[in-house]
Amino acid sequence: MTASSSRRPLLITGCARSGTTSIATILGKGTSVDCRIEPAPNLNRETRDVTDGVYSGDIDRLLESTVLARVAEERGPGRVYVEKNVTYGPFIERLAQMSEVAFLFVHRDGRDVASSLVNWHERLFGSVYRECMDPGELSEEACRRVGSLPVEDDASDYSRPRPHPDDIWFDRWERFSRLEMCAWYWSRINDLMLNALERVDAARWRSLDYSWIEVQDIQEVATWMGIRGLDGAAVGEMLARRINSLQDRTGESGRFPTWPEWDDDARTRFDAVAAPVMQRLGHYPRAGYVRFRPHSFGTWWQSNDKDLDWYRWMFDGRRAAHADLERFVAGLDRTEGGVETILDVGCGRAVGYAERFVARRYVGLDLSRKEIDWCRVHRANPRHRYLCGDLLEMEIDEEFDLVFSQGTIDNVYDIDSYLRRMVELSRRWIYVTAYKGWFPELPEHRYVWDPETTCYYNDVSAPQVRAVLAEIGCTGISVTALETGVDSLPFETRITARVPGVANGVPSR
Amino acid sequence: MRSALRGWFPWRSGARARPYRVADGPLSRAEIIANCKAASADLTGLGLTTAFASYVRLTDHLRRSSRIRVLRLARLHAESAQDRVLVGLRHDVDDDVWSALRCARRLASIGMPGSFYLLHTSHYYGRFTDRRFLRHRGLTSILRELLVAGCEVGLHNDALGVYYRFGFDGLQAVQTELDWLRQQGLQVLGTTAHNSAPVHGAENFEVFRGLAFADRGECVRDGRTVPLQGLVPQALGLMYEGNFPRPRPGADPAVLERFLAPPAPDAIRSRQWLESYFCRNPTFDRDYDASVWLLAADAWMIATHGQQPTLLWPVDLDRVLEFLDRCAPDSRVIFNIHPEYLFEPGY
Repeated sequence: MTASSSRRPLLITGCARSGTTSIATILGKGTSVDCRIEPAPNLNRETRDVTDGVYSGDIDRLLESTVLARVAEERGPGRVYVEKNVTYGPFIERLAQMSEVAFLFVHRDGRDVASSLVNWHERLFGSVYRECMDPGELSEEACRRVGSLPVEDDASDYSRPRPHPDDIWFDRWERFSRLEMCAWYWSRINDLMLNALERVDAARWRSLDYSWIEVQDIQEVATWMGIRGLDGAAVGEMLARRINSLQDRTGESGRFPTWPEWDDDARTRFDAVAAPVMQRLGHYPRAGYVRFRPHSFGTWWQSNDKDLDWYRWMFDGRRAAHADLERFVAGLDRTEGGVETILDVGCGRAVGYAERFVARRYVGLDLSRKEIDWCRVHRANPRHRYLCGDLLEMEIDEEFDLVFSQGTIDNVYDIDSYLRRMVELSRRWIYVTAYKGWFPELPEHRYVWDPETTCYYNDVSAPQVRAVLAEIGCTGISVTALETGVDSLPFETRITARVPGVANGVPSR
Repeated sequence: MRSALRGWFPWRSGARARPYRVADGPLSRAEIIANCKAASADLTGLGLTTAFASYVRLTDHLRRSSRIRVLRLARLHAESAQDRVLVGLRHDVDDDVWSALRCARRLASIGMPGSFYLLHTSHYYGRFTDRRFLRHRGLTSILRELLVAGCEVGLHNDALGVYYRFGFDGLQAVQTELDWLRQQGLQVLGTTAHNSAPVHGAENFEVFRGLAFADRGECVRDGRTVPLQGLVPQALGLMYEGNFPRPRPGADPAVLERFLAPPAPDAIRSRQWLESYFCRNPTFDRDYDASVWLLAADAWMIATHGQQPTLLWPVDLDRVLEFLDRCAPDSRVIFNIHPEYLFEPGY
């Protein structure tokens, strides 16, 4: 507990629907507190304009005339000023520099927040991300409210951020569901606030997870802020009342399901947008985290009617990538003593490679039972072995000189875990190509789930691949464009790396 | 005279305009959208559509300019201009409500007002049979989408089209559709007239009292007479007509006859026709300063109104934005976007 925050004015902020109103209301019951919840002017328009780079005013003057003017109002001795707004995001650093305020950053599991926002929209206001294609199943109340609120007068919806052109979801925003939009909002705004707070003196801010909030958590904040007179039983009663929940406001619970009831589609859409920030905030594990595997993942691949001709067609469509791997293996044979053992992840019917590696130890791994069964019948070779399973879930009792994967990483549910697992299984090298293109500036992977073919269609971020491989100690990391010779898709992504513990081609671990 | 004509359609002696009756039409939302896409794809095939990015660029410019204030048309004359150029974004949804929704959503994403006028005689709205008008059932969900997007919704008035093309009571049609739109939760305060006077011999807005050229009470075309000035805007809860027309008291008969001659196909993109309609219109002037219309692939028309009207055609979006930046403070500019010109295959 840092005594220096005691008696400072407190600004409570966070993503909407995270519990900011609840904790402000509770803290406001303290005997020494002047508490205001979303006092006007609340910077709804300015927060968006500043974030979008279209604000033409003087930010210091804006803050002095709004938040800081309220903070500076005369109060009795020993009193603490508490103000809650969800719009401080782009102003946090400047507010910290211009005043003595402290910040309480409230966050809550993004899945709960996104569900809550959708219910807020459908049952109460009808105006959460008004550009969403699906208007939602609006209640009469929501219809009435939204129908009487012209968009230009709707400062609340305006205040929510929208993707900028450099955001990985910018091009897809128009087609986002409301759940995805709310997930993006949660992710974006928490990231923005946390980035700003991490540049502020750590003694002046606290982070509070409201997902499983308990009386003791509230009392710790009160103590930190020097707020007295908060009775534990009363706090418990207020928490139980779930202040400002839909139930509290309308007496009804929403129709949009809570996240444990979400189907694969909702879960994959949420995770695609928000998983990194879920990890950052500790709502998903920070270490050893594997992204959500949809229940139907891979089922289409088990049941489709694709035959050998289709796999040959697939192989022929990527001749440049296959030739490149051949050159890569030949290079290792020349310079590093030969490649004896090979794991092919996502081998399908082993077209091309069963023949090419006929004299080597070649293990083909695929998710599809029917392809593996076919290989076992039609690719019989005592040096070869075919395994059926999910790379991220199965044990493999061998290590390999080379673990490669041709155009499969595009379809997996966790690119980073996939790479890590390939590295674990390799004694020397990994080689990966991603067929969907070359994304040298994409800051993070872009996951798109397709329920029809029960797999993902990912855009693989080159910078993120480099970072992941470097983090696990790979060397000789190369993430480059691979020329395809095909006009419609001139480049794929080519990834090669030497696994940790290999020096000059000789494993040392 | 007007009241005697109301509800009657004496295009043949003794003939009566059929009463406007409505029943549910067959098309779902998905079918309406599919038809809209097909209609606009034809325009794309003719090379007349513009990338939606142009609309994004226009609205981004409007948002960023501190000299400009965008208002829904219902507020355009209610607000004081002060030191700003007041801009209205009028969308006449002739053919493609799908692209209109995209425009409305774009505006919603940046909190910008726009005004969208639905054409009640368009294929997406419904269709006429011999006995009644079938209003497509899927339209309600489209209206809900517009409602949530928060734009202004009005009626693209084709009363004369209802009379002349379909033989039903056009005045009743306008009244009925205004009522119905409001029943869907929309606050309808204005209309814009579909087509132009040369098409039917009168502007569609001339069905409103006080808005007819030379205070005429009827329009005769090809021997068929329909009533004008039969609707009282205030009684219908209407605040404005989106052309903000100031009817002229009269005109040289020869000039009027030339002006009202049925237009040639594709006249809308003819400089001669545009000058005639916007700069030398003998039937009405406009109570605002400039009209900017998108009429083809990145081909815009800029017409200034008042004492010395001017016309620029065709100009690209760069020129339009330059024009906006040069507009004098306190001026009012109305864009007219037909969303079908912003259709993008694949969207």
